[in-house]
Amino acid sequence: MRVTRFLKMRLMTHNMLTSHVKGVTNGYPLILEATETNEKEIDFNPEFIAKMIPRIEWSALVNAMEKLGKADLIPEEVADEYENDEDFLHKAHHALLEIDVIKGNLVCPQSGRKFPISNGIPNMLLNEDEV
Amino acid sequence: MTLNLSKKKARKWLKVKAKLSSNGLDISDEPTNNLVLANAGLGNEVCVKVITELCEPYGCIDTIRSYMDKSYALLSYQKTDEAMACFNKLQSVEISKTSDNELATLYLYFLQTLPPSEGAIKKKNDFPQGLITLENFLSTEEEEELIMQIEKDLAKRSDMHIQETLKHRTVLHYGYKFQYGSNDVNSSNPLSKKFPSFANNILDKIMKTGHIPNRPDQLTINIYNPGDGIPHHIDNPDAFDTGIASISLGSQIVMEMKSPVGPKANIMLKPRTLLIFTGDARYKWTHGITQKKSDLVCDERSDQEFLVKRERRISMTFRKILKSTSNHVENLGCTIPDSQKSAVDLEKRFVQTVYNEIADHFSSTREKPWPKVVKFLENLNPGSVVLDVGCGSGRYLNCCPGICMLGCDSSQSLVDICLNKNCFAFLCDGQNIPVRNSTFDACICIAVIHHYSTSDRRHSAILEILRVLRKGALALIYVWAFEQRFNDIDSNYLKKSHANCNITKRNENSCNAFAENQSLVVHENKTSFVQQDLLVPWKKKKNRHDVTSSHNISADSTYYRFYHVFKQNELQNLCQGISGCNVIDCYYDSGNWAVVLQKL
Repeated sequence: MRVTRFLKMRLMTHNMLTSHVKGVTNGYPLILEATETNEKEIDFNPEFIAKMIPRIEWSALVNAMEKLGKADLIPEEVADEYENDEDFLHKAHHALLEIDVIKGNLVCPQSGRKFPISNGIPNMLLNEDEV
Repeated sequence: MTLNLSKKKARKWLKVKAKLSSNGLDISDEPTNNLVLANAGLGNEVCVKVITELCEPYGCIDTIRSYMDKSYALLSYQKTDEAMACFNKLQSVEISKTSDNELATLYLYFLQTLPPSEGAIKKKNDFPQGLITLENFLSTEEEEELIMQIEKDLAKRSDMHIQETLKHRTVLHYGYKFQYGSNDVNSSNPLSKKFPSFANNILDKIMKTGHIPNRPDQLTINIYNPGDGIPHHIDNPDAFDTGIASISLGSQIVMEMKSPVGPKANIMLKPRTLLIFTGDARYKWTHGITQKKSDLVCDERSDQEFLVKRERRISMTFRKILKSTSNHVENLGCTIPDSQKSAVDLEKRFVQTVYNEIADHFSSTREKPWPKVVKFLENLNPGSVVLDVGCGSGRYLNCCPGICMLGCDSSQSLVDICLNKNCFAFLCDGQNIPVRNSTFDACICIAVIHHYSTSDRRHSAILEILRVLRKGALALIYVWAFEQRFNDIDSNYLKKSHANCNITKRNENSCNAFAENQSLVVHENKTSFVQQDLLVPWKKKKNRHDVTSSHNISADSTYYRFYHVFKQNELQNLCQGISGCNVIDCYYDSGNWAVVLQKL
């Protein structure tokens, strides 16, 4: 299985990241504020996507797609028998892997702390008073 | 010529003869004054001293040649009958090797002619650029006077100097004390503002040569008894200016110099010679003195080589201290941190900031993935999502096409490099990985945890890795090992050193000096570690050229990284103390300790 390489921050990464500021208990999901995105087609690997689905917080992905104004491209719920639902896997593939967030912020839902994304790299380093 | 040997030994004698001939030695069946001593070469761990003592009784030895890469030695007597006597008496004699208690059986053959010398003593044009030798710089009267003054100081204490006995020589320091552990001087703490008058007078004379830009203010006097030596080194470029002057008194000695690209030169230092290190000789070539009781010396007129016994030799080395260096660790007050705050500060300064500065150079030297790490990744299930904690310049991020890898690191410059290599990494601290629990199918954390400066932080870094792993998932962790010699094999890190044996010994000596305090030792690269918490210098190559051309060296060419090197079982014990994981493997790999953990 050849798996796609990540080049920039994608929604799959967003789905994993959480705010980790000291004292924050509800840091997930981070609110995505994208000011620059880039879309490109990636080889579709249904096997890999099917394997990823159980690890994805689907509501967070839906939320991020809404923030990008692409709510219509993502089903609200994970399909039953998604392993065999090619249409669903395609949509998941697109949402998870085909949108690079080049610039913007990841905002902690509890504290409002903004983690900047620049050049596709989220900066999740904390200040001294945040650890 | 008859051989008085047993059948078995005679057969062996013939076999060795054939081998020597096939190696290009011109073996003679008729007696000559030259001998081949098979099995008695440096390559067979037989030292020249043993051969000398063995062969001296039979006559006057003209030349002995022994080579590191050959198992035989060559020897010539002045007369043929001397060689014959030796040939008959020493045939099949057993001699002891330098190491272990092994014996070597000596076989002797006559040699038509000695092959041309491979240059035990190099001609002047092979000398390193920038090395200035002025023979007969002193008169014998001046030499005697200096020796007398130095012997006086050796016999008494004064507030002007400090005396120290090292393993292989005795030293006196004037002006400032040279600190062997940090390879440095504490410029804020002079012994005395002034040199004794005998040193000042000679320094006046040295300054008149015009080869030294700034008048030295530190003097180290080395006393070498026969058999003493000094390991190969370059005088710390951050601590001392160019134009280091050294005067030889009392006895000749051969100083060996090595260029980083290979060439070697043996510099014959006659008594009363002034040596000045500038240019390449100062900054690029190492110099050292082998521990021997005699030197192979070439007579320039006849081109003959002789063994000359060493006598007590004294050298006076004058150096100018660079006070502007901001990296003087002594002045940084760097101690092993005692609080979370001081640990964070220390790591910020000696890890994160440094990696940001050296990222490009670091990346160019860290291209090749370590095979066992790659193997770990290849054995994961296809499609696994893997986090590389402390991914550096991303050397593992695209080495395995079947898995999905993300990296994270605390250095912006390194993460940028990942991006340029078409890999993805985000910026974070390994103590706080901004990833929700139980996300990854595996983690690797290669050469990262040794950068945390307290055991609490090393512990919590591992906890953090376990937190982001899914149940049953594996983590591979590598840290640098304190033991750079394991199962009798030197790690590559040590192997790269020319003279690590000697330096190792010296460091073991100086180790005790640091056991008392909590200060961080500056590690001497390519040597064994003297303590577990230390600062490892990183020389940024880019600036090397500037350094050689300028008298005023910029200190920012050397960076220091904090390391806690792990002792055997330390990493394993650390992990075993963590509930929620099993240590499923633990091994030593080329100077590193590794564990494989499984999250329960």
